[in-house]
Amino acid sequence: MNKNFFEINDVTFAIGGKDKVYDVNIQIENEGDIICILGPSGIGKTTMLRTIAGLERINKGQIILKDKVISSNKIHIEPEKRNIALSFQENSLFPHYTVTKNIHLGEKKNKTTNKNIDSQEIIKILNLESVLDKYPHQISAGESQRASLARSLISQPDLLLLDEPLSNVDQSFKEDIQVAIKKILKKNKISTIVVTHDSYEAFYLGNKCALILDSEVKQFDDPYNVYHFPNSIQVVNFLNRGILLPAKVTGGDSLENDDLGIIKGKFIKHYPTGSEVQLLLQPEDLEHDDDSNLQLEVVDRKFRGTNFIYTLKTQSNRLIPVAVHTHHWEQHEVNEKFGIKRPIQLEHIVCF
Amino acid sequence: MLYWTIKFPENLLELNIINLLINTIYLVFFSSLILIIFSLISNYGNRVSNNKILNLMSTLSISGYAIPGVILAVAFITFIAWIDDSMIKNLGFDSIKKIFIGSILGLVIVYFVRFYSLAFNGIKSGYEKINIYVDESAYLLGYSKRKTFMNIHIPFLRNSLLFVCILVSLEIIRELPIALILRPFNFETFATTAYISASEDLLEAAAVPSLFLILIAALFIMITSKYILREYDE
Repeated sequence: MNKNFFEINDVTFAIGGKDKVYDVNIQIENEGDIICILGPSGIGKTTMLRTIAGLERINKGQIILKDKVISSNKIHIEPEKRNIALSFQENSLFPHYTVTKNIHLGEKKNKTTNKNIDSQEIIKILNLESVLDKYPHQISAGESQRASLARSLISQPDLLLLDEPLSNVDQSFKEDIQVAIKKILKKNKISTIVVTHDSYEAFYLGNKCALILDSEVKQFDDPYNVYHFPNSIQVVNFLNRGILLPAKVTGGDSLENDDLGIIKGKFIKHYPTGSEVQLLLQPEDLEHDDDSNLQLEVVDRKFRGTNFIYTLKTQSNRLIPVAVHTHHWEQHEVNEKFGIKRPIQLEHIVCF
Repeated sequence: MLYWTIKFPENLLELNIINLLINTIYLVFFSSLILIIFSLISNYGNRVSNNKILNLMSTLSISGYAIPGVILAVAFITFIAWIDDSMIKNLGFDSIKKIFIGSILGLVIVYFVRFYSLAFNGIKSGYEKINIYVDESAYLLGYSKRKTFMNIHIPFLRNSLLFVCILVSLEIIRELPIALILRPFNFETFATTAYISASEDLLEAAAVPSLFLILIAALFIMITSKYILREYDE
């Protein structure tokens, strides 16, 4: 039997005596893997991190790190003895120490580690050189968050917990940091759990993503599957990367919608012919074709850098998103007609 | 006061200033020390445990500042006398009145009740500037609760502690009713000396201890100002 590096087995997470997330089962299979936890605000994501760190106790289930139970209803290893680092969303720097001293406090924690993280490299990557001699109250929220992240990374923990690590970081800088952090984590095999509300961040960083909805883990899977094969309508609605259209199954590889007509593709799940289903249609599913006889009205156009997302209105007043490459030279304005390529052929058909 | 002091220098010479200064410092030092230690412990306890009963006790304990000093002193004497008569003597022990009434210990205890509110709230406001995540970060960096208290809280609260110390000292130095009622025999402070002279209509004689009271207070205020200006500049 393969042993996981880290396991949450059947744990109900609670804070202040109030249960937040029920019966959670999440595993980090290999050292160095990254798990992202996605979910709406207030659902209990931070509570999960706090509990894993040992700041909250559990009454049900168990948490295992490197084959050792660190939390259960009987066992509770104190946070200072877990070798788990948590980078808080809020400012958690020691107010009477300079940024540099705050960061280097992390070094003292784990001197016996076999990991080899260069503190200067971290400081450079996180662009903290200019604030090293300042006190926490003299720097911005984003700088404070990065300093806290640096301290956590430098402490070289067995498990790193990041609570919205880049929520206060400038967008222009965010992607560079994401790339750099992922590289460091992978290089040093630091297993990490990242809480984020940014699905793109989760999809980039995570080997696996856990979606917390309605007080439970709705889906725990790799990012591709979470995006393309959501397992429930709640996941679709949360990710907000597509819409659900009513359709009728017309065969083993086809279904029909009143507005779009026949849609072909491979069903992910079998439905009997004649079933009424909700078809998931994501922006990249439909192709644009100016010469098509299926013309829909443009009600909105969002520029997303690499592509435009057109929102089209069907005859039955449903709104469908369609992605078109930015370099498509003939742009369509609001109220103009927009052609959809026929026959509609989808990579995979996801229905509910 | 300065005029009267210069005009009647014999008042300055007759006054045992060294003795008064020692008495005042002695009283201030012990009272402040005990107040700060207890306030620090109770604030830390509240922060770490967040226990409702502990919070309630802290709230009740700070009500002493609302009670006039005379009433507190009389209540203290009455309470000690009652304990002594109803319990101590019945158990066959020696009277405890001498230990608590007319002693420094009695003075310190009543000052504690009276000024606990100042010390507690002063330290509390310092603690409120330390985000709770700071404590949790310390634990996660391997700091124990004791080490967090010693290495994180105390250095950060240093200025608050100094401020509370000065505030409490100022109150104790100029406090009169409790000192008059509970002080040991022949134990005088600047405040009691000034009061006694003034009550005998010797205003010129009262000027000297009053002037010293002002000088000490001014010194404390200077230290306070320096502390405020110096904050975080180091």
